[in-house]
Amino acid sequence: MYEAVLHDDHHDHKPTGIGRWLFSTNHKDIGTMYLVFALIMFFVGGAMSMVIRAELFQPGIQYVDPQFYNSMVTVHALVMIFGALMPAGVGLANWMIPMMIGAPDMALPRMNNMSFWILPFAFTLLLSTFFMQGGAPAGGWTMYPPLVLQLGDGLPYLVFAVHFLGISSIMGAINIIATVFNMRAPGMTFMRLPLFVWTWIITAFLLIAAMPVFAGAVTMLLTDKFFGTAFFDAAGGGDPVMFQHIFWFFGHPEVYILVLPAFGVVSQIIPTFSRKPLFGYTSMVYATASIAFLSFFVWAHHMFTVGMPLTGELFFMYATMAIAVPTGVKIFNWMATMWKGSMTFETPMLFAIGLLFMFSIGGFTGLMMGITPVDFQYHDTYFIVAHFHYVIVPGIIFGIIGGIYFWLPKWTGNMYDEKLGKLHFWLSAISVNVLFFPMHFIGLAGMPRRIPDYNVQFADWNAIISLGGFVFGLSQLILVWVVIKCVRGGEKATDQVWEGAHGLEWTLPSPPPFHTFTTPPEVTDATAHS
Amino acid sequence: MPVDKLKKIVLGVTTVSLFMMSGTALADYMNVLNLTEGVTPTSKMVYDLHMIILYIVTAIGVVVFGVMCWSIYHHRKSKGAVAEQFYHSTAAEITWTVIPILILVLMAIPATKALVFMEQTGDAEMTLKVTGLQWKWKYDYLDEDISFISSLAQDSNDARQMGSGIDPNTVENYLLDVDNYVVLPIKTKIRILTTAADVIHGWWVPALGWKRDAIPGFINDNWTYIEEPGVYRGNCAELCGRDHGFMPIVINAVPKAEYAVWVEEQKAVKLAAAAGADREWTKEELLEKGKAVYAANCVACHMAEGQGLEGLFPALKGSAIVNGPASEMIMQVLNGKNMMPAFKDLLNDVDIAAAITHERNSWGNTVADTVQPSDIKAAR
Amino acid sequence: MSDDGQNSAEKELAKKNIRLAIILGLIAAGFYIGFVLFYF
Repeated sequence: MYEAVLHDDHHDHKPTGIGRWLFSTNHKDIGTMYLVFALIMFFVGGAMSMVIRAELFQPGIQYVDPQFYNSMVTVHALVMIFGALMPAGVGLANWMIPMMIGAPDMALPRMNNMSFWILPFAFTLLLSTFFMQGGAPAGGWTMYPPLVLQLGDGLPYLVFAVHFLGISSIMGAINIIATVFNMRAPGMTFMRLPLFVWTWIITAFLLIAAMPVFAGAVTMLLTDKFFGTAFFDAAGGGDPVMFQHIFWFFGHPEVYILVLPAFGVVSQIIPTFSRKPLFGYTSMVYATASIAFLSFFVWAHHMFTVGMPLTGELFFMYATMAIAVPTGVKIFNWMATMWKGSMTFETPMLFAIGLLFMFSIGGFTGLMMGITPVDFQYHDTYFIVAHFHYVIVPGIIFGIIGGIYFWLPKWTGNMYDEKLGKLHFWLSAISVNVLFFPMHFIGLAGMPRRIPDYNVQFADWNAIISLGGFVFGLSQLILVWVVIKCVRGGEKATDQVWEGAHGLEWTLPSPPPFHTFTTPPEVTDATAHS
Repeated sequence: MPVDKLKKIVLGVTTVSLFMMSGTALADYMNVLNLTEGVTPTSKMVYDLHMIILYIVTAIGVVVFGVMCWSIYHHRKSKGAVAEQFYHSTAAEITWTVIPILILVLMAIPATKALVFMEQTGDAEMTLKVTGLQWKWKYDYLDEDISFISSLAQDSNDARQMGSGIDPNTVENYLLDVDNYVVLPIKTKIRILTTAADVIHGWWVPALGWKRDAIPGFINDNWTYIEEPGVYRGNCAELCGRDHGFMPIVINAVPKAEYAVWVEEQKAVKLAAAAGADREWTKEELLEKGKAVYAANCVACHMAEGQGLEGLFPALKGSAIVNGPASEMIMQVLNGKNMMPAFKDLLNDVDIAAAITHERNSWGNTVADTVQPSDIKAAR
Repeated sequence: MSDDGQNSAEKELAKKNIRLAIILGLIAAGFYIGFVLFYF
């Protein structure tokens, strides 16, 4: 229950017109742009998944050529991962990190602008491939050669889009590290940082280590196709499996890049709505760092069936199983935060708890898949599709959406419509399970992934899955409506917004002025993280 | 009354159950729930491991979700709960770090045993070489010098075309049937080599208990020992292009005596084909055979009316090569080009000659000559 | 977008930020180049 301490209205003028957005160096505006872009891309990727689920609704090929179907599968993933999930995470970071640490803005505001505006450009490159000879990429988002090299004119566009996305992410990561390292208000020590900031610091280091590797891998694809190299061509002395090693060396840390910000959001939401401090703050920091560190040693669990030597398979099995330990520690710490708290279940809390339940389901199947000999049956089936969608959709996406509901009143100064929020949650939570749970069954029963058609034994479950998908997709429109309605108006939000909210960001007005903390605040244990 | 997680679970179960009750029988859903036990020692080991791990994670889930549900119910503000303010406990942290580690070690032991067992590829009694192609499998029985291609069965292939009007439910083993089964003897240790000719494929028959990638330029070493006779079906398990979903695998595992008979039959067929290559074929014979060969080997890319697929596969109808000199067309078919494989390794002289003749006489192509098997033999 | 009257403390901070950014950028670029060199 803090009074709002700081009002910097005397120069709260904002730029106007389109220049405000094109040339923005303001972390709040840039954060908003990232989030709006992410929401649009979420529906673009979502539309592609609707094409997939429409075709899979019944056995037989009804709507799309199998080649186009493969493009849908491929671009759905690329758009969701690089266009929706990552920009949404960076959007939340941009909005919240400076306010959480008492800084006036990000360390490098112009670079921040560039990081954002690269994204629409990169996606124009990628999506333009649909109109080219040979079509859009159709070899899976994992781009394995030799298949990906059969892509027609679109290959350079795919590669350059990836390069630009990587540059955007790396610059964003640099900005976040510089901001947190150099611009914390006096008294804001590292161990007083909100956990959302910690998870973003760690994510930023993962980005710097992993994205260049991805860029290297796709560059090697480009030179194999156009400049006579044979990195991945056995006839030239190369090895297609080497691409997989390089890709997944990036790819596994990438999934933690995706999830750690969502974990950070959950670590802000649960203490607030439990009215209790986060349990085991220090362990949470170490657990997150351990997960990030270990993530570099498990990549080949995506490749258990390539024909690795026994020692390799065993090493990666043990390392993969090991990651379950710090992940479990985080889940238990969140539960201990709830335990003996005084909980209320507003929409952000519903999404956070939804993540706890359903990310855990994804975690369990992940552990199952880490057991190499059994993965020989699971690999490349719908069991895998079920696993990663559980950790991504009711995992990461619920975390991000929870963050949006949590912080919308701060950003806009208006409370969102709680009834609509709850409706959005329940529709999403139920339909997401109808959509993804049966995928475990059909995967175990023998349905491979990335296929447009299947034997009739899988028809019944596929029909249910598709129905779940349609309901889930439509339900997300409620989020758009909630956001628009909230921006337009609503019950006025206080500075603190939520009864259990603690932290510097909750001392600012709702909405905060264009420039905040131009004078650093005073930070004591009382004003620091929950 | 705040809606809590218990209600959510009930709602979820009810929704799924309602879907299940509607329409078809429950059994249709229940059969398609779990991994198969399979018919090999490997598959059974893997199944048992899968079930153990499934039980363990389910048990953990029940405990964890149970505690969460209890907390949600009991520690609610609306129920009058007042928040305590503890935020650490070293004892708790140690407990929930050590216990998971112990559980994991317990899981790792049988898992390691199973993996070591699966790596023993030595002392095999016969070897089958599997080559993945876009989009079919080639099988070479290395000890018997038998070789054939196995493609999606015609009825499935017809039904799966967009707008075919054929209901997949009327096709037996839709998308899981092929023209040439892989016949294998039971109770024999069989070494299975997997490789590919173009892109990475994956060879998977769930009943055997494993899958392995088929990688161009590399050979992977696997083995199996099938205990029970029967027909076992599988799929390509690595995205390999447009028809990745349409190149299944069918094994017919038979008693050893029956296998020996089949081997002899295959050798006889091969001799007859070689003999066929030495004689002169009539145009009618070539066209009839060519139509079948085309349907099994060429139609996936060049399509039923020779029209190809815009941007991906060239049309044969009105093609310069098809309507040009026969020798050029023969070289292209034998040696392949870009995504088109080199058919010299895949088809015999009779089949190639027949297919070429068919193409040069179809869809308005006016060359109307014939190409004899001896022409192909000479060109190799 | 000019440096609207930055005082010396702000200039110091900007220097620190840019220095850290360059270091991190070099690390990222170093991974990329090192990678490419390693495989070539």
